[in-house]
Amino acid sequence: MTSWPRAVWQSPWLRGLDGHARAQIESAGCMRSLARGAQVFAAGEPADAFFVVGEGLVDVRAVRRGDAQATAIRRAVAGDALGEEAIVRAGVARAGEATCATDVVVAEVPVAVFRRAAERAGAPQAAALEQALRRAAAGDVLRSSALARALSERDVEALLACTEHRSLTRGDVLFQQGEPATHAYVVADGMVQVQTEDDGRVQVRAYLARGDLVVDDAVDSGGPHEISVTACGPAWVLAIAREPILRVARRSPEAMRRARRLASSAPLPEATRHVLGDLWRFAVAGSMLVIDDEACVRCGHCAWSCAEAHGDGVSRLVRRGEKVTVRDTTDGSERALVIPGSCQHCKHPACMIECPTGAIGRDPRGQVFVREELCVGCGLCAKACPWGSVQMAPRKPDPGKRSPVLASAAPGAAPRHEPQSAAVAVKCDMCRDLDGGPACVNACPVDAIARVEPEAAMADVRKAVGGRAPRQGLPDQRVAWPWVAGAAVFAAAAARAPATTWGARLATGLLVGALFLALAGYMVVKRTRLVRGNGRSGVRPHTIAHLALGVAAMGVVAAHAGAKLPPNAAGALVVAFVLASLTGVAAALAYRLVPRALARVERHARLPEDLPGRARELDERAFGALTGRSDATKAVYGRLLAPYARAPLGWLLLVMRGATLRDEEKRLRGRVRRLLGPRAETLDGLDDMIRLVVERRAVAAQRVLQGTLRAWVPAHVVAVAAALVLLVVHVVIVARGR
Amino acid sequence: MSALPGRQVAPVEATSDVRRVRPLLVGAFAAAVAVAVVLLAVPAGRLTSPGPLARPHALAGVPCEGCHGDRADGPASGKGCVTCHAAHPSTRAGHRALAARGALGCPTCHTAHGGAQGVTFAPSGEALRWWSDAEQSLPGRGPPGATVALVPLTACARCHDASRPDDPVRACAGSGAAAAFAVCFDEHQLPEEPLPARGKCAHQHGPARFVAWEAAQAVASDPASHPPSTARARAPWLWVGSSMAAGGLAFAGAAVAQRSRRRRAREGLPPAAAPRRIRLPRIDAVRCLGCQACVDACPFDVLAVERHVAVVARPDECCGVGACQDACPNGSLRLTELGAPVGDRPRVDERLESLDARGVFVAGDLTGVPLIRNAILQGTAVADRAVASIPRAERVRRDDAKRVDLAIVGAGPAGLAAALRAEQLGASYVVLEQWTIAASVRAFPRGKIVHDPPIELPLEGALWLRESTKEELVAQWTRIVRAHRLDVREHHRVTGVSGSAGDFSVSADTPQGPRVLRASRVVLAIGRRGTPRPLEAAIAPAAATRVVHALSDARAFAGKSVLVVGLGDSAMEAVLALARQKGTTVTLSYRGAGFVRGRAHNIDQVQRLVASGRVRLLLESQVTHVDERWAVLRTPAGVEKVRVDAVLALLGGEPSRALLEAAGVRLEPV
Repeated sequence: MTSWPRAVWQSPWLRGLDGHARAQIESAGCMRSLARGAQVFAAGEPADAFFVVGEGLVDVRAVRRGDAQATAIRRAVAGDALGEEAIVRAGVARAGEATCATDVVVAEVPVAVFRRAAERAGAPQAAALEQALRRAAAGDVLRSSALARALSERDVEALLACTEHRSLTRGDVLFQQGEPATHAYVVADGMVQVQTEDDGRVQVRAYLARGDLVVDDAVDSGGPHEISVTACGPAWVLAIAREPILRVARRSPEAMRRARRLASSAPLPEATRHVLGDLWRFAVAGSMLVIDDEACVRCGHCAWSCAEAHGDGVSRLVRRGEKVTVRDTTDGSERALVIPGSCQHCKHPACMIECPTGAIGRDPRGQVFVREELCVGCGLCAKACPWGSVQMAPRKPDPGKRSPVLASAAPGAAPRHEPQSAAVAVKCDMCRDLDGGPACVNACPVDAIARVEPEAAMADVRKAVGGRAPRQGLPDQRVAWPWVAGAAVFAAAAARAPATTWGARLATGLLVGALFLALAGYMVVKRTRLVRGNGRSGVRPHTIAHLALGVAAMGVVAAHAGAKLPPNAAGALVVAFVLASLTGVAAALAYRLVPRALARVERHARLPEDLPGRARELDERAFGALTGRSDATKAVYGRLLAPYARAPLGWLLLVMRGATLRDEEKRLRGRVRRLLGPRAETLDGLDDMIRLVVERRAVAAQRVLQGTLRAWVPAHVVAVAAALVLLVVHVVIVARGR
Repeated sequence: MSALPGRQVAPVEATSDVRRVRPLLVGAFAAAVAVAVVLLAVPAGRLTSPGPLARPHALAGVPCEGCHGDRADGPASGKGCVTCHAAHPSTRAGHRALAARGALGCPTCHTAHGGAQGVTFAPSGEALRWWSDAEQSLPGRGPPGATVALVPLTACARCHDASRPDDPVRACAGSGAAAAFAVCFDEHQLPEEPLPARGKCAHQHGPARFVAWEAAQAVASDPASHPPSTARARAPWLWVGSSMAAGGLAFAGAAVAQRSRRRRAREGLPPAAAPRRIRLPRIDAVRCLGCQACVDACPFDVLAVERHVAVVARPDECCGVGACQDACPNGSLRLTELGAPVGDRPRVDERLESLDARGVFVAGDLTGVPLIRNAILQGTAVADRAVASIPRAERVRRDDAKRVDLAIVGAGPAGLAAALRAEQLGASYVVLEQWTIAASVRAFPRGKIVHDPPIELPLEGALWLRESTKEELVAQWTRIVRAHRLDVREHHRVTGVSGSAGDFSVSADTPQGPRVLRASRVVLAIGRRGTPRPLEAAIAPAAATRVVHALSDARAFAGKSVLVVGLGDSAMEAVLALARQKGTTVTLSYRGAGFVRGRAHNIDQVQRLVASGRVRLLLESQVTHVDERWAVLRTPAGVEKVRVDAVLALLGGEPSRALLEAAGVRLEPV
């Protein structure tokens, strides 16, 4: 009834499973025959199955932490298991590679099926089997860790006896400052960060990755930890009791010292605003959407074009997110970037791992996508994504469509079909159905938005994760001013030669008409994606053309119409054109000047509709922070800080001063200090309060500046619409008059 | 599959980036339509006219057809001029030849629109310089009644180039301010035929005509002579301005409409029924995916996934709101109402009116349905029903000091919601509260996030904030009470309710002594907290103030030693808050042998604190004695003395049964 070799079913990993469970595993798994030299699996592959050798020999090799070359770790014979790490955490990256030393027959057992079969069949050994696999996996981790050189095979066995597995999700605490040290830890997968907490402010001191040993002095002394360790992302850690580790340390102190890579040095630079504040996010991103904060004109075309491109009115991109400063890998220049809410196509996507139906996939180019027909709308992916980049949207109504019911829900039952769920997971799919790359990147009028691989484009990330991707800088903006200046010269020349003869007026009129149509065509071009970029950086020649043609058209109109304003349709056309030009010029100037000012007064990129709520929230937080404080603090707030936050034209001062929020905080702190003298140091919570009021004032500035950026385009569009109608009337009248 | 507790699904968001485009298009369309409508309303002639009509023509009211014939939108041929002015052929051979071929007419030189200008001498002899749409009085005199037309050089420019010295026009052109036009003394001969009646024009063609020419040229050369700046065409600005205004209004209107539509869509969900009975999720084990969606949706850890199937792990905690049902992707989880009401709760009918004491309504935690949100829903619903059940004739006037329609007992979320609704309905009411507004919410630990269910429920009026801490919620409620001037009487402890529907007497202990109030209906929103269960230990009189039953601000205990008694959620939350303070020593005492109830999250955190040595946990212990410095506990290991600055007894509370019994409200049998 089962076809797999006895050696497989008699191995310690599968022994004791009943016939039903065996059948299930056989139907889901497969038996592979491999020639000598073939790979069973390669390092870095996501693991979702383990292997049991049926016959032959397999070598397991891995790069030890700190080494450059792979080392042989062990040799598996018939009945041994390979790649057991899959049992600990689904989707974990394989630590080593397995190569066949002879011709080999090997059974591949998908972990999910193994576990379900064992548990649902109620096999009493299920827990024991899993325990054995975990122990084997831990052995491989220890043999390839930084500690490996200090360990003999007997040590490994001894340590395994007192090793536990800890599976952490993002933000989980491994241990906290002040807790007594009971274990040493080895990072088996993922990344953890070592941090110290000072008054609630976190300072990251080091990042530890696969194979690293997490040990501080407290483990030696048995005292309380002086550091905290939290998981940056999903991580798997081996916890080894203190005593055996100390025994190993006493025997080979040198190897132990080398293995302890704990940075006790200074904290990483500017951890809060720096990209290293959340290195994990950048390290796992395959393709991250970034917006150059000093160039972005907040027009929202990216989000709009995303909703359009997907045809369901749901934008996969929300222009709101953290701001970071990074250095470019190619020229080393510092750039302020916004990381908007959009999928970053992780190298080991949590959403894909969590999806119970396999609806999320990752294609060979690294793009993570959702298969809508398989999605049951359970929302697990949305919860799994640490950055909230997956949203649950209403499914486009299509009552005829039905989705296959899942095999797991009804084992052995005849296939049924159920109506599709009402909700469906949506996320950025890099516009894989469209030619020419992501719609958002192509739609940006100012080349501010781009998809980059952080490891290739950001120098700090590259250094921290030891990136091997080819260098690729952050995209630059296209320069527009030479074109506009040239057009302005042409316009000035044209305006000086007014058309007096009929022929000249006809010629200039035709030219104006053509220019006008070309200008209005911009509206169509930018909406229909007729112009496409190369996918990495949008090519925006049509915006530059619009600016240059607009300036040129002003000169030609002046030549065509002269200085007079006749009280007829032609005069109205001139008026409409003048209004359109003025609003256009105002918009262009705002686009050029405001983003920089706005970038200075922002800590976090927000949408205009967030700002009123944000102001209220800051007020309430200030009151919340004030309760229970000393009278002196309350007095300082009432006399100095509240008037500062609420000053009617405070935002104008903030913008005009051109200072960053950090400078502004420093200035305000100076004022408090001058007012109170040395007593200022004793005020509790003053720094928090200053941060809040400065941000409160900055919110007002942001509202005005965002309004300035956005107000001109509606006026411009309205004037252009009027002008287009008038142009038609004018042309008809002139044609009929002749 | 890793559990992902507490995370919420990001809702689909239509940001302003996406929404903004439609109003823009609406605005543009409206502007285009508006300008088209304006142009249709304007007479066709004005759309094509190259400028305003010559002033004498305008004053004389010459209609368009007078010059243009039937077609007002083509250039005038000049044939119409003769009907008034009679024929004045040119004296110049060249002009005559052109006129004969039809290439030259009166309007060629005398442009009636735009460029028309001249000088008229008033009957008194004063000079009046005029242009197409403006005039100006200037010094200088001439033959009274004479009008001299000046020909703008631009009219000659089709044939002549005035800049060339040998061009004949140079001879006619003026100088200085008059350089832009010509006075052609010898251009015309007298009319060939007698003018009709020769009346009106007779004085123009007398011998003084030469004087008039000279005088007109002198007037026109006056440097002070220039068209006033108001002489610009205003019409185009009006036309375009109106269309811009229409476009702007349409843009704003579309944006506002969009916003209100979104708000309606958000708020316009049918009002949620006030949950009355205990409902529990029922799971179809065959179809359950084990996806954890329900587990994460549940705010109270009622559900858990075991062997890849969701199960109801803690039915007692179920709130019956149905977040799990909404989260379930394939409908394998359904909320079902339990057949029989649960014991130990007031016997009420569908309308939350007591079955035993008609006219007494019950709302809030007292009904056995937890959650602030439910309390608000029930309070609103109960006020609606209670007010509706009072016959109109029996309604009490609002200025009646002795009697009210509704006596609401308790100013928690349910009581306040009922008061707010009564206020809206115009009923008279009074809220009697034994302590302060929302005393039970106030007693939550500082900064506790009052749970916001992960689904969009219809708003229950002003009382709810989306996600807020306890402080924010209490502040919001206090603001609302003040803003709506709700009649909330704090420190009025209700001691008894007697009478029957329509005439209840509610007696209360007030700071001014006992008072009795008469009311038509009574709403009991007294919650289940009631009076905190006391600590059964010998407490030295001096230590009485050291034993407290609520933790409102853990910061007050920084650096102190605190003994927390109890292991419910509120006790665990208090421990978490206290352990976060600097230098606080926390000891936790509990009668039982381990964690039996409470949220998994709280249990996790407390166990972590205990493991790290931050909190000392004494299970199976009983506080026997508390004095000023020490608390004495009986533990399995023997008697233990713990140094304490404060004892926090969080043993839960008992609903005020006495009040319920006094009001005649009976409980369901257990």
